[in-house]
Amino acid sequence: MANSKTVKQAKAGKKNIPSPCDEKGMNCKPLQIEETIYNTQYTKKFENRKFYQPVDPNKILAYIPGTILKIFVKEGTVLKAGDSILILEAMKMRNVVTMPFNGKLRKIYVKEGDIVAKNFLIAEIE
Amino acid sequence: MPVNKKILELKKKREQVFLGGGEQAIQKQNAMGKLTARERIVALLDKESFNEYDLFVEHDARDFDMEKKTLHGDGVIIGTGTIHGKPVCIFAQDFTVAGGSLGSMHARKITKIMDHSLKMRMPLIGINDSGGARIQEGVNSLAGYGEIFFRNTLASGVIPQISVILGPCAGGAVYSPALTDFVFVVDKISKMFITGPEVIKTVLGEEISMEELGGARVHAEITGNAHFFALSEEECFSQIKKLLTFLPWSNTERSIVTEPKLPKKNFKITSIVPEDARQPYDVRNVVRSLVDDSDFLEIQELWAANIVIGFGKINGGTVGFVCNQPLVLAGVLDVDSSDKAARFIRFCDAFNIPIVTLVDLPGYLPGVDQEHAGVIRHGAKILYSYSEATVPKITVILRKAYGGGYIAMNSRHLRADFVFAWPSAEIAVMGPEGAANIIFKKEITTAEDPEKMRAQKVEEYKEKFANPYVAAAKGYIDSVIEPGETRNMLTHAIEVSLRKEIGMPKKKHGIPPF
Repeated sequence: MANSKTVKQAKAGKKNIPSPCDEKGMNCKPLQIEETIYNTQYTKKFENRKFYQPVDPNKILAYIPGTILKIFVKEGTVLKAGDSILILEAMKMRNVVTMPFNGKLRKIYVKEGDIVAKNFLIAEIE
Repeated sequence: MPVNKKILELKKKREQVFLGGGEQAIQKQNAMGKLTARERIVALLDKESFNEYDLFVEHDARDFDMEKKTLHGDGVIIGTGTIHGKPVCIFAQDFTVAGGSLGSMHARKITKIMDHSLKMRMPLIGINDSGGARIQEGVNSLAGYGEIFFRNTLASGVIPQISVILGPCAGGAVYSPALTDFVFVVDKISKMFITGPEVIKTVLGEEISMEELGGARVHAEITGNAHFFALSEEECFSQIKKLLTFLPWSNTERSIVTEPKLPKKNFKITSIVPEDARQPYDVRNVVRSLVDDSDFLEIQELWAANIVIGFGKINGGTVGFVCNQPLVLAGVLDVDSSDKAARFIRFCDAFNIPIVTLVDLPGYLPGVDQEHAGVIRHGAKILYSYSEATVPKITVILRKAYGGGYIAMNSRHLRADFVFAWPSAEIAVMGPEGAANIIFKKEITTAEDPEKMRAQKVEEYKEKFANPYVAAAKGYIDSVIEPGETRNMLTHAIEVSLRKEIGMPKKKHGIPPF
């Protein structure tokens, strides 16, 4: 709801404020700081900013980019916290990815030899 | 051997070395759109002013059959010359000789000229064009880099250090430019990175071109590693010469004083800033309406454009400008703009350059990305740099100065020497809309027509607080001035502030929030 409110306000703001920089083809957009909406240009970095995604504890993501060297377990296995799932090799280091808590490994999204980017979804816990 | 013959021999030896890596390698260099190291020095320095040293230095590698190879000058040219008639030290890596790779003698030549520049207090200009460490020389090559970094650090804040990236500059080599004051890059020629595309591909599986990874545009727009971006080597050299018109030759001198000139008439200070605080304008035009001949040299123009930094002259003397830019992101402070301003403030302070701060900002950029990127730590750098600076510090509040942003932008509280405000200034804890919503929350929510009440209360708040007079009544503002009076006020304020003598508590050095 908060989001839709912001968008609505921003749109209203753009409509209400006569924009000299739009007239001059300077491509201005609304930017809200506190309760005030300013007419301004965006930077590339601002336009490409990543919005926050809450962390799902059931999803195991690659914390470093690298290669899946070996997978120790099968999908559906019930594991204890600290049990090894697989080896993620990165920068010549063999990192053992382990279970963060007790649970059943619902799905493994990689196979041995895969090269994964940072934050790639490796496995999911039920 | 008769004397004449000996002189001829010297001439012959010189000519051999002047050819660097030989005709073929020179042709190859030119084919890449690059000048040779020697051509670059000639293009940059005053005509016929270059004096070369260590011309006959040879490498001392004795492994991998290197002893059989001749590397003229060991791939680097060093010397002194003049720019604007004043002496400078210069080194230029010669890519035609073994790819400009850095061996121990190559490094020793560079450190020799660095030592001269520090000892004799002249600016150092380094032209980088090198494939990196000379692998055959192993740890001796690494030692060479270390000796260079150490000297960059030692000279920091004593003499201006300029790095020009005119070719590859990869791996550890990038840290010498990073330690210097100004980095110049040229489109399609400069390449800087720690690990190259090949390593990234084999280790991480990510494919990226050299240009996308660490080309000139990347460093000018995204990383902020570069301060000046040019489309050709010629343009780059004229940028360097221009920059040097604003700099002192060392930290015990003042910048060159030029003939005072009035700003150009087409920059009218009274008609640049819109009355509505929500509307943008280009703050660089305000600067141009204040400086001699409207000549403003902007630094890091393409990166963190929500803050503007650069040099201009007022009444002939160099001034460093730090200005919020309402045209971009409403002029907010964020991680990058804080870094950009803070480092510039410290440069000005180290080199006796008065700082003029033009304020018009709504506050800090909100967002999880900013908070998680450490906007607290980075934002603190501005507070630190302003507080620590002892050069003349003058502030002009043009329009908005809200909340923490007001404090950070060289407020009286950080020991500004003079703070002026235009009648359009709004110095307040936050914007009127936000403040009214908090202060009059009860009245607004219980009103029959909350929107009408809100608008009324916002107006009420604007009337009472969105002006410079509340702050002026407390003496936080020294003077409320008409825009047209600004240049004269600045001229006088700088003149008197240059006389100040203030001490800092005794310490080895502070610990800025890097």
